Amino acid sequence: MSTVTPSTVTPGRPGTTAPRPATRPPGRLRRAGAVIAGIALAAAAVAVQAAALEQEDLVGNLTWTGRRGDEVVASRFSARVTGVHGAKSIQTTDAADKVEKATTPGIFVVVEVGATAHREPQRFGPPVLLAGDGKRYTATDKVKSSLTITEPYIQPGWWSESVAVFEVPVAALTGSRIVLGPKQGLIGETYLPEVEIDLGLDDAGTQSLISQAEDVYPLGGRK
Amino acid sequence: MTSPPGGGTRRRRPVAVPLAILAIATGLGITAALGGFAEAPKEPPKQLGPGAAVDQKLFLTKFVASRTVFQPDEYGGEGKRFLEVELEVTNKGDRTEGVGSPGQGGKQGLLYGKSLLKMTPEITNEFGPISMIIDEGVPSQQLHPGMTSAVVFRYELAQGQQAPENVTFDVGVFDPDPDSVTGADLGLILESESDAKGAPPKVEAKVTLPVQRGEAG
Repeated sequence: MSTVTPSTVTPGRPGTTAPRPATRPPGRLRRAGAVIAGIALAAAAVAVQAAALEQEDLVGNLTWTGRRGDEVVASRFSARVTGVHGAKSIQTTDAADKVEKATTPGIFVVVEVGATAHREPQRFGPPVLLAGDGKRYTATDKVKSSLTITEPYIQPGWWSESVAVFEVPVAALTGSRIVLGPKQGLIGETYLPEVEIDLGLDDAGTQSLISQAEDVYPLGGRK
Repeated sequence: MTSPPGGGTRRRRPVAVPLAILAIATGLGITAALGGFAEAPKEPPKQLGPGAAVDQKLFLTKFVASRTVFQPDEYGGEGKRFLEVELEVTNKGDRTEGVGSPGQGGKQGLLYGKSLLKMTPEITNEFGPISMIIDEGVPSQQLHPGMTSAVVFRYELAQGQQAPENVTFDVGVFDPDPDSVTGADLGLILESESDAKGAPPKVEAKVTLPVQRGEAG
């Protein structure tokens, strides 16, 4: 026994009965061990796949969340929602006193937002209304962007106040949030900061927003 | 437990490999007999008329009508004549999309508009068709999810050009979940005829609309 090492075993040779019982059990054990190790590796691979990053995690923005009325502090700017209004139509007056009235088969949502920058001036891209069911509504183009929060440079030191206007079906209102972030440059930047502010529209809030929706909501013109 | 030298027991015949070969050969034979690995022939595109709706997966489009329109010139010129196509488009996707415009002269269009793959007979001009959503006071270019919009595409007719009796549109379908190697957002992608690279977009339906004569004749 003591002189036999696995490397010297030659299984095909009959007559050397002593090493056989010593080498067989390790062979079986090793095989079982290999099977178990294989299964474990495969299971680990599957587990790692399940933990892989979703596309949203890979290329999405960095999101700071908050609620209506909160001052939500993101990395480059802070923002807050001060009011939410419903409207059946929106009447805009541009600098040349030209009046236009936009209507919708759904409802207009006018969100009053304020923002300030931390270090460098910021400019917002088109705001998005993120509905409770995950659908994304880009701010309506029926209101010129010059009348909304995307127009001004958001400066450090004071708050700029403006509106974001969305056109949505009534069903999209409950649980909706506004998503606001800096304009994406020509070369796409990953991990842009953005804020996601809950508009506070629960069932009751949605009902009152609809029932109190103004027939004509005026925007722009000389104040 | 050791077998006697010389191998007294019956040797097991190695049958697994020949059996597997036989099974594979049979399977390949049946596949070949049924037409091989080539794709099954496609259904021909549906032939539809006015009022028909085409399911484009991300959108539901109703082809309402086509007509000629005359737009007088604000400054007393001759005005412009258009062939107009009216659609009712419902966005079934989960985000706002742009109307874009149909392509012309074999070039692919933009955004939603590129799903009108081909127009017969084609009306081309320098700037291509004009597209808008005009029914709600202020023109828009947006198709919001869950909403139905009246989309109008206008093809300008040249001086003295007669509008055709009928126009036919080849209508494509959008891929609801396009493959993206980098994970980047590809936007609206049309489904192709086949998986081959550079395959032409799939024609889901051909919609023929009679052109109603407006004041432009």
